[in-house]
Amino acid sequence: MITLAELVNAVPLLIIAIAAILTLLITTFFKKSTDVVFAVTIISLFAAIFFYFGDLEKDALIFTESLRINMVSIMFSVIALTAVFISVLSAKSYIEKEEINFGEYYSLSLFATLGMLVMIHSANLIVLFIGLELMSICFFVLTGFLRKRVKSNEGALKYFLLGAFMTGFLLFGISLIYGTSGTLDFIKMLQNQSLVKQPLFLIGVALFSIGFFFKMGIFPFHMWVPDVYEGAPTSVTGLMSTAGKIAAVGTLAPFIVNTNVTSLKVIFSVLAVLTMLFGNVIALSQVNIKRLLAFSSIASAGYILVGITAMNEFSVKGVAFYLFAYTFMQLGAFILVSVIEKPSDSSNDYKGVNLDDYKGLASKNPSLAVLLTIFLFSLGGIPPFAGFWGKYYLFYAAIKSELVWLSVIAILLSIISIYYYLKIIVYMWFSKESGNEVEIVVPPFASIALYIAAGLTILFGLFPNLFFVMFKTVLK
Amino acid sequence: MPELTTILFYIFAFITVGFAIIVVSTKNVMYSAVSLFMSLFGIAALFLLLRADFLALTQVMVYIGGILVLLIFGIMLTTKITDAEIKTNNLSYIPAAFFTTGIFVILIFVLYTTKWNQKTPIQNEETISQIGKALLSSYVLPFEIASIVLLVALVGAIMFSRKK
Repeated sequence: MITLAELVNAVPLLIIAIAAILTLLITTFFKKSTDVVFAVTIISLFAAIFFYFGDLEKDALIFTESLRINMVSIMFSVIALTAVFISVLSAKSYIEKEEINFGEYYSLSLFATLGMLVMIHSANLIVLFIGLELMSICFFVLTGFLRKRVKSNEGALKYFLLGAFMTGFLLFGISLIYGTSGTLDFIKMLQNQSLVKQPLFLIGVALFSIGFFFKMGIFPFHMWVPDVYEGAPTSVTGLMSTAGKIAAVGTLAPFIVNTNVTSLKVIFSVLAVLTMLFGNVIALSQVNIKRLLAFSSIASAGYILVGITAMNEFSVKGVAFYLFAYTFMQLGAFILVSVIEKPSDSSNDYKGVNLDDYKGLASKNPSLAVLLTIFLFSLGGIPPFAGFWGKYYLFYAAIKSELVWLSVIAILLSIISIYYYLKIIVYMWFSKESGNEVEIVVPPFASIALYIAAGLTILFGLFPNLFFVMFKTVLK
Repeated sequence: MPELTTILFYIFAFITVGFAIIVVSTKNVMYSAVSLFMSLFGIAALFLLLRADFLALTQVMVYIGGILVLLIFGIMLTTKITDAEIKTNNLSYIPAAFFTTGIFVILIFVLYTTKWNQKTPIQNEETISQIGKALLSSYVLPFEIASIVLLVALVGAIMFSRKK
């Protein structure tokens, strides 16, 4: 039986689910209703965030122990919702510019959000799998949303084929975990201490992690990231690289951190080093800013994995703060790219996404140049911005677990990243503009989203403790 | 003398794996589709041997009855695809062989050293009503969300195929 108390606890999920179906119905029955759909989407996302801070039970298992509502899952859900909120806010003008202004864009974003929330709250492996699939299918479709553009089709097809293949790994892992533990429930699994000594269980966990590493873009499973991030509509890239990653990490991290197995630690730390190395080094030679940010997001996944590898009580804290900071800076950078991008006549490629297009941006539109400088400095981890504290908490967790070597390598590799971030900044401020270009118009909603992102990057850079005050109960 | 079910298991396992190899190695699309049919049929038989009658039934109805028939229709309605030779060779044999053998050895080793969670099977019990009850009681949430997943897949397919 589903009780009223359970429904109250699930209010944010219900809001998103109802809004997703409502937007779909509005799109079907009324022509030219995208503004209404946009409003419904924004309001529902805002309401969901609002209810998370409201009167939820702080530790509950609901719907016959399918969903777990606790502070960790609430924290990751709020971060994911914030990412979707900012991304959808900025997407309106972009999809109008690219002439793909369909209501389905918003309802697919909402369905993806529902999948993320289900994943993050999942208390057993079946619910987790279904949530992951819901999110993935929405992302496949959103990647190919620019149907007339070959790049977008290519990205969608690659993402779909590789995604389906990796789902196989994930399911194989789940079946091995079920075979050894005899339960699908996370809590029961973690209570059984003898399980982690069984090699088959560890192989199951490893295969399970592979499925998530694919979504996060960790080293040997990162091949799709540059192609898909480049091919997807820029607003979708922003959504995938932040919210999608938050959901994957928010599901995997609390589970893996609690297993605390040495053999997994070894594998994870090797993968983290390779991921950071690969992402940062390949990013150096990129000329397309979407590809550059894609490689930088691979490197970011590596930093997150450093935090997860620590497997101590600071891990989840550090990972959550990094993701929170990452949301604003990465999303901000992608929103800027989507604003600067020019509507393209050719059906093959995006226009205005090369680094050369950023030459002399400061003289053309100084406020955009300042904003991008803030986001890039923050991504590079330079002190007064939130990104610095994100990396600080991650590496702090690793040092606490006596993984000093890992933190040193991570810091050295993140210094490489400053080179390519600075390259863009130098192009913007010190290079001469190449020829007469059209003036860049910043649409109102996109500029609101940009200022929110920049403001929060600075705010949480100056007062990182605000975050821990927000989610006080987890972080004693 | 091994039990009859063991012998049957090996026969069906051989059918499944053997035809699966043909699926990926043949150069003719039609042969591939028909081999896939046999392979999926073998899996259905394996489900029956595990006393999972509902799964076997779904396997036959969904995969063989639905998806495969559609696939063969697709091949027949696409002109010239039956004659075209598809490329089935692989460029990186050596690393692939290295990795797959490694994974195979590890899995075989682990399979033999693990204590499996065994439950004694209850004789001749049908599973359909049990699955139905479980889906509408303890697994009602994943069941409902699965319907949303299907809805999204439909919307996605329509998005990609519509004109304008």
